[in-house]
Amino acid sequence: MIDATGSAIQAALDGLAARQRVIADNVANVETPGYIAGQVSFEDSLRAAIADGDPSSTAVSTTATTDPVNQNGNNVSIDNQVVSLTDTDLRYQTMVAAMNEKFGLLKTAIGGAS
Amino acid sequence: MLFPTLSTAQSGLSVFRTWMDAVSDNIANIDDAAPTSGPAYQARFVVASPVGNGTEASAGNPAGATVSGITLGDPAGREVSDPTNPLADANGMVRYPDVDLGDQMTQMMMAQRGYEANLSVIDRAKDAYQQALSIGR
Repeated sequence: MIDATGSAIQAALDGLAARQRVIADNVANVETPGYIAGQVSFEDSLRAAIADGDPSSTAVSTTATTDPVNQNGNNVSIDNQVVSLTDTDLRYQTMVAAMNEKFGLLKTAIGGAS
Repeated sequence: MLFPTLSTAQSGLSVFRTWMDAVSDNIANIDDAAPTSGPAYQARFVVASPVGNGTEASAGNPAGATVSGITLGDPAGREVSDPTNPLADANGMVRYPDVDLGDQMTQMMMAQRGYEANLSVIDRAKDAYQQALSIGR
């Protein structure tokens, strides 16, 4: 039912949702001593997966950031996190719009000529 | 968990709220006199630590921060000569807490900014979840 386009969009939504959760975790720990911020990457993997013709094989990976830590061993940069959250949110909305277009085409094909 | 980002941000709110509570408690007690025979008011310091081992958020579970304990300030405080105070000892000394107002106000601002940051995460997360619910409408 869901073709390559649909699963590419779904993989992107999954990756962006994971990024949003990790950013929320970083912000909650903005003053936690010794906390190292995490970051999510999936775009490279998604690109490779699309090239291979199987977008659902996209791997979402979370790694620790290497930004310098401050006095209490914490390296969360609140401004970077908020900008990144806005960016992630807008990307997510873009992919939701794409998914709705995809379903719209599907509806038309099914016979929604009403 | 249906909306893990919201729980994560909520844990942040609760840490920073607890921190603000501790700061307001410290400021309210900044001028508490005590007899030198006993301890002075001890400032409360909130100890935050991350929830889990750092893999929860990427796995789709709630993560965030939690208050793992409270450490107390120095019970010795500082001894001040105040012979007119009814709590004064034979030498006219009383004990005041070792709470620095400048330090407390700085902590208050940090806690408040942290609280606001988590609130904005809740806002954004709500938008994203509403978008997700609109798929296929």
